[in-house]
Amino acid sequence: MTAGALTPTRTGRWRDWLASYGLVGALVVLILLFSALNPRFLTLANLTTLLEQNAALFIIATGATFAILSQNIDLSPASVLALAGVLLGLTFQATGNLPLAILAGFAGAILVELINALLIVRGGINPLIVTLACWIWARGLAVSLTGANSISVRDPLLDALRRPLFLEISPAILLSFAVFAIGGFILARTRLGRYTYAMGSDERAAVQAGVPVGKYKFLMFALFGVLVTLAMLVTVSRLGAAAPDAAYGLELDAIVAVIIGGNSFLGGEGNMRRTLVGALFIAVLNNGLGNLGIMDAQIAVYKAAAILLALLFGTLSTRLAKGGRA
Amino acid sequence: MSISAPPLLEMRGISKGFPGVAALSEVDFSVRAGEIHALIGQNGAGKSTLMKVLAGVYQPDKGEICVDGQTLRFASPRAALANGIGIVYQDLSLVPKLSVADNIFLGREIGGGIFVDQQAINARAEHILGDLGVSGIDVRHRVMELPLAQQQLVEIAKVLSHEPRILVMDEPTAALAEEETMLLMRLLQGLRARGIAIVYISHRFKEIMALCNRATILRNGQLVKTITIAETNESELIELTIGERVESFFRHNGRAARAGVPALEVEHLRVGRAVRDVSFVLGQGEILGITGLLGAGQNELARALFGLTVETSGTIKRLGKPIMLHSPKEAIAQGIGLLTEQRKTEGLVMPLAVRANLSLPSLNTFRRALLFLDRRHEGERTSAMSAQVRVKTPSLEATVGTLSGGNQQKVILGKWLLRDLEILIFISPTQGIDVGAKAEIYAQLSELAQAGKSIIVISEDLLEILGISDRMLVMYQGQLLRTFDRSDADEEHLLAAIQGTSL
Repeated sequence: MTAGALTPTRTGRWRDWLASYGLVGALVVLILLFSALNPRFLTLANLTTLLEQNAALFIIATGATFAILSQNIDLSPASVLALAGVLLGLTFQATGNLPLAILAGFAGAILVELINALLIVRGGINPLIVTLACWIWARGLAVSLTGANSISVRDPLLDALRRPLFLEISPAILLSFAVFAIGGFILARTRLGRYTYAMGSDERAAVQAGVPVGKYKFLMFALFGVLVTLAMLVTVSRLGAAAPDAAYGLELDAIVAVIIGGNSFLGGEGNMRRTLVGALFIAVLNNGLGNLGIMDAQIAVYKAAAILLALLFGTLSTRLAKGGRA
Repeated sequence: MSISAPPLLEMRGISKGFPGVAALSEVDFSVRAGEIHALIGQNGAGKSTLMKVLAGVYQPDKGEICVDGQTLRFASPRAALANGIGIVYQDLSLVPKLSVADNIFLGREIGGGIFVDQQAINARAEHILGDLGVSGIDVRHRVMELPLAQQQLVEIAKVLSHEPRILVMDEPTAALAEEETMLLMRLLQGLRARGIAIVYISHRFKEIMALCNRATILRNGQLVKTITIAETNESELIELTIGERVESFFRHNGRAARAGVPALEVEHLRVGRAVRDVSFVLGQGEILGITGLLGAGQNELARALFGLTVETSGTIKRLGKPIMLHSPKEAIAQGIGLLTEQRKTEGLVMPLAVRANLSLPSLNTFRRALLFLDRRHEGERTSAMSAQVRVKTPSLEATVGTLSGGNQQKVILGKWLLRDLEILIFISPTQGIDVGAKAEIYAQLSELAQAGKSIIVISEDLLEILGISDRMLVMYQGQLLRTFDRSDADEEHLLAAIQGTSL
């Protein structure tokens, strides 16, 4: 799955390989480290738990890849996720009708993302500011709608999302990987994907070439709304409840996953494979540190250190690939 | 082309004003099918505005546009393109991180529904480039990885793939070297033979003389004249453009290098494989022109003298003493400055004000107690320098990015002069600069040499080299092929020398 946009030159290919797989080395080191510290780390049960725990991250990271590659960074998905979850919870509480509740959550997520797109495209406001504001207000709305309480949501359909199908692998895990695959396909093979790169590389030039940039931004944010809904379903299913404080900080994990995987923070350059590696790295880190029995505050420090080390490793190996002094 | 043919494009009485200025007043302009029509004028003369009116970027205040006898109005560039008007802009409109093929088809990808058929796009793009006689560009390469000249060809291919009937080329050769210019000119001749009407905007009068059928000259937003090329000559075109006699263009004043220790002595200099065993001397108060074909090594030579290349060997002496030049910092400390044609990336910080750009390399001299800047002193010095190099700017606080190319070049010059540098190396000092600003820059180079500065000018523009240099060096395949004195140089000999032959 290579986008024509990225078809690399000879040296480019080597660099692309390093950018994509340089982190794989770091990931292997990390896995070995956690296995040494915790004998239960490399068990099937823990690995599926790891994937299960981070299914929402994988889904949001897919959306974040589009956002970052197109230079429309989105800080809001975790807040929108919580708000959509709350809408689902409230509707479910009132009607007991899960499909209707899912629809309510979905409509909420799409609506919020379209408001973001509207403010960016028509309002001409910087995406960072628009989505930062949304990060604040969507979470605020979620909390105020519920009085800061979680709403229990138990339904066989939602439970089925996390019931293992085979080898302890649940539909939620399959869903998160399917999202990756489809996201990668869209990025590499469709107009939306092509314009994602074009917008991120030089939006003015894209406009001049006749690309309906505004329309595709709406489309991209709508896509993010769909992904947020899926991540929300996975989250609600895992918690058995719609919590207004759900997925707190998930947007940052997703952005870090995209960048650490080797996608350009400046946009226009990267692919979904890189995000996959980056997201796995963050997932292993979350799970490994979580099982060491240390305080959350310490986890945060170790996590940040590991992320910085991985990024340093990335820049160093790229410099090596370019052949010396860069 | 038949002279009596009715024009394919006719613009009548076009006026367009912006707050405070009349950019165009009552301009008539027409182009026939199968004609290459030059549009000439200094920056600010109204060429770009006229073409933007044609392209639907601007709506005219007055006047009408007829294509094939039909009066049309274009609401947007897309509408103009749909009506067969294609424009190759000077500042490329390519998306740097997309591939060549993806750029050519950006906005109208091949493929059913939402999908993109990469193979078909690549194949079509290859076909289009092949049709244009362009070889050696891999359509899968990203545009940013190509040299500027090839990017320009991609841009042209992109516009031509829309099969326009009227093609506007806005300074297409500004970034091109000899060979690519030739290719482009052949290409345009082919298009003319196919009956396409071509508007050719250029500052290069030689090309206009060789290529165009007619020329329209604009000055200050007004039509000066439309003339037939066969009935005019280069000097007349220049005079019509600047509104002055041509003798004032190059000022030499019979200057000669001062006696005494040379400012710079270069002995057996090698730079990688680009420059091989080059020795020369730069006298104090001398303008030394260095020319050659693209890739003959002159640019690498200049960069090495500014400490930008590490893989060098040989000796460089400054005022008789051997010096090391391993970094720009060392070069500047030795009083050497480099001014390149890459004004955007190598010369100026575009979003900063004129003042800040001027004082950037010499901030240390404006330091007051610890880290504080002496703003008043900075203001005085930069404003004096801005006046000395005659930067036309609304104020010292104006952003450099908003100035014209010629004025940007003057800011770079002023910045190094503030640093009190003794040796100034220019790479293509007037590239992309209009003829009026060119004359000013030539005059300034001359004044600087007169004042004792030593100057090296690297340029592929032979007229420029001939016009301003005291001595000329010709490089060929990395070696110094010939040296000319001002008295025994002429265009034919220089032209022969850069191609490695002698007359």
